[in-house]
Amino acid sequence: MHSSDKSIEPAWPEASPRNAPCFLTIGMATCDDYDGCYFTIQAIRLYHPEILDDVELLIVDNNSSLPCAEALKDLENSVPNFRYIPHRSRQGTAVRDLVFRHAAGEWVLCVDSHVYFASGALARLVDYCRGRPDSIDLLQGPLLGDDLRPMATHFEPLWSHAMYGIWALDDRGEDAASAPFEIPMQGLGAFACRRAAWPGFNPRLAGFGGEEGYIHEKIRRAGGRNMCLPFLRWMHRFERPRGVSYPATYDDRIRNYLLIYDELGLDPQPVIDHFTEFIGEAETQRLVAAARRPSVT
Amino acid sequence: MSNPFLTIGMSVYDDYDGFYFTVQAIRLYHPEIADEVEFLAIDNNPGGPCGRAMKNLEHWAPNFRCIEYGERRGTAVRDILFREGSGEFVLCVDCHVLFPPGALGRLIAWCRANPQTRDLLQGPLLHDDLNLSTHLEPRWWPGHLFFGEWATDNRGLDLDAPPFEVPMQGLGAFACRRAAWPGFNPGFSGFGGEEGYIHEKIRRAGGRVLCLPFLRWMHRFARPDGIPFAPTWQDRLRNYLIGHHELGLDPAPVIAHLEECIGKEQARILLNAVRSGA
Repeated sequence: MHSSDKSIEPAWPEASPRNAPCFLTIGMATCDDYDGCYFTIQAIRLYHPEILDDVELLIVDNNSSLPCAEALKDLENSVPNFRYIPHRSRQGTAVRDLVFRHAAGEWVLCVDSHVYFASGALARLVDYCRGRPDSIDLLQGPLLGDDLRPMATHFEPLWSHAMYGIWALDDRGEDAASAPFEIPMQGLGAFACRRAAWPGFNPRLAGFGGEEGYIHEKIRRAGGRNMCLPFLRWMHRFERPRGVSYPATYDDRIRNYLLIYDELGLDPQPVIDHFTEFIGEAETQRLVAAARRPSVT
Repeated sequence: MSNPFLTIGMSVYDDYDGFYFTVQAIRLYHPEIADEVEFLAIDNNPGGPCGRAMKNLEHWAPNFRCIEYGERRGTAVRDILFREGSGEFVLCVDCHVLFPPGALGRLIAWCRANPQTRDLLQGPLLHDDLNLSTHLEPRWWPGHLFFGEWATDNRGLDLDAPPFEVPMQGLGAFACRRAAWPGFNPGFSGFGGEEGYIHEKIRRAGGRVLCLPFLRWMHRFARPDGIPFAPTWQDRLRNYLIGHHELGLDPAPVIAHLEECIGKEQARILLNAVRSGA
C-alpha cells in the first residue's frame, strides 16, 4: 500500500489545520445544511465585525460525504479564521462535543448552524467572558421568535413530546439590558462555556436530541451555573420544509435519555413514564429493551 | 401596512432557507427601516414544499406578504413585484442576499432625496472574501451564455463615495421607483437573460444605471444540493433573442457567442429549437 494510492484517499475534504489560540471559537456541527452555515457565518462577519479579531469560526461537518462538504470546505478560501472538520464516525447532536475538542478558543460559543444573533450580542458576550476568566458557568440567552421578540429565556424541566424541556419566558429576560440570572436549562441552539470548564457530552450519545437538561445538570454538579444573559439573543430557523437528511428517531432519543440518566445516577422511570404516555407502552418497552441490549460495537 | 415607502421584494423558487435568512436579516439588522418597508415574496412554485413555511411568516412579520404565482416560472417574474408592490420604490433582491448594516437606511434616504428619479439603483456585490464587484462589463462571458463580466470600478470601494454610472450590474439587488420601472418583456421565461436588457431600457427611458457605493450586497452563490429548477441554455438564448428583438438590436452577437461556446452545429440545433418554440 502506497500513500499515492488514490483508491485509499478519503472522498471527503481534509480537516483544516488548527488555528492559533484565540479568545472565542464560534463553532457549529452541521449535517447537510450549507445554507444555514453560510448565512450564520456570513451574518456574524457582516453584523458583528467588532468581534472578528477575537474569534475563529469552526464547522464540524457531520455528513461530509454529501455535496455540502466541498462548499463548506471552500469557505476556507474566503473566510479568515475559518476551519472545517469532517466527522463521519458518529452522527448526532452530541458531536458538538467535538467543537470544544477542536476549538482553539479560550471560550467556545457553540451554535446551531442556522442561527442569527442580535446586533451587539456577541461583543457583549466577549466582554462578559473577559470579565470572568475563571467562569465555570454555561452561558445562554433568550431565543427570539420570528416576530423578533423574546420567546423563551429557558426550558422548564418538564417532559413534553418526547423531549425534556418546555420553552418558557422569564420576565427578566425581556430586557436586553437586565442582569444575568440563573435558569434551570435552555435549548441548545446557542451556548457558551470556557473550554477548560466544558464538562463534555457522553461519547456514547448518538442520533439527535437528549442533551438538554443533561448538560445543564453536569454544569451544576461541577459547581457552575446555567446563566441566561439577556443580551445574548439568538434567532433560530426552525422550519425545514424540504426535509432533513438525518433520521431523528425515538430509538435514539430513548437510548440517549437512558444513557444520560445512567451517567447521572438518576432513576430512569420518568423517561419510561413519559414515552409510555407519548408513544404507548408496547413501543416504549420495545425501545427500552433495545436500548438496554448490550451493543457489540 | 398602508403606503410603505419601500417594497422589498423577492421571487422564491423552493429556497426557503435563503428566503428566511434574507428577510430575517433585514428585520433584525436593519431595524431603522422597519416602519418604512413592506416585504413581498412571490412563491414561484406554488404547491412546492416551501410555500406553507413562507406563508407562515405572515403571522410573525406584520408587513410581510406572500403571493403565489406559478403560471410562469423564471427570473422575469420579478416584474410582478413592481406590479404588486405598494411602495413608492421597490428594492428587488434575490432571496439569498445580505446587506451590510446601514445600507438600506441609506438607500431610503437617497430615494427620499430623489423622489422623481428614473434611475436604476444598484450597488457593489460583496463577494464571500469581501472583495467587491461594482458592475458587469457589457461583454459576453467566455464559455458561458451570459452577457456581462464582473468588474470593479475603484470609485465603488469607498462606502461614502458619490454614486456613479455603471453600464450594467448583476440583478441580485436593484431598486427603482415603481412608477419608473420599465418592465421585463412578458415573453421571457425560465432563468436569466435580463442583465443588460433592463439596463438598456432604463437608459432609453432617460434614466441612469447607478452604483450606490453604500448599497453593498452579499449573495449566496453556492447551491451544493442543486437547484430545484432547470436553468437551460435554451431558455436563456430565447430570452436574449426576445430582449434583442424588443430593443431592436442585431442578434448576431448572441449567436456568434453561442457558437463560440458550443460550436456551430450545436448552436444551430439550439437556435432551431428556440425558433420553433420547442
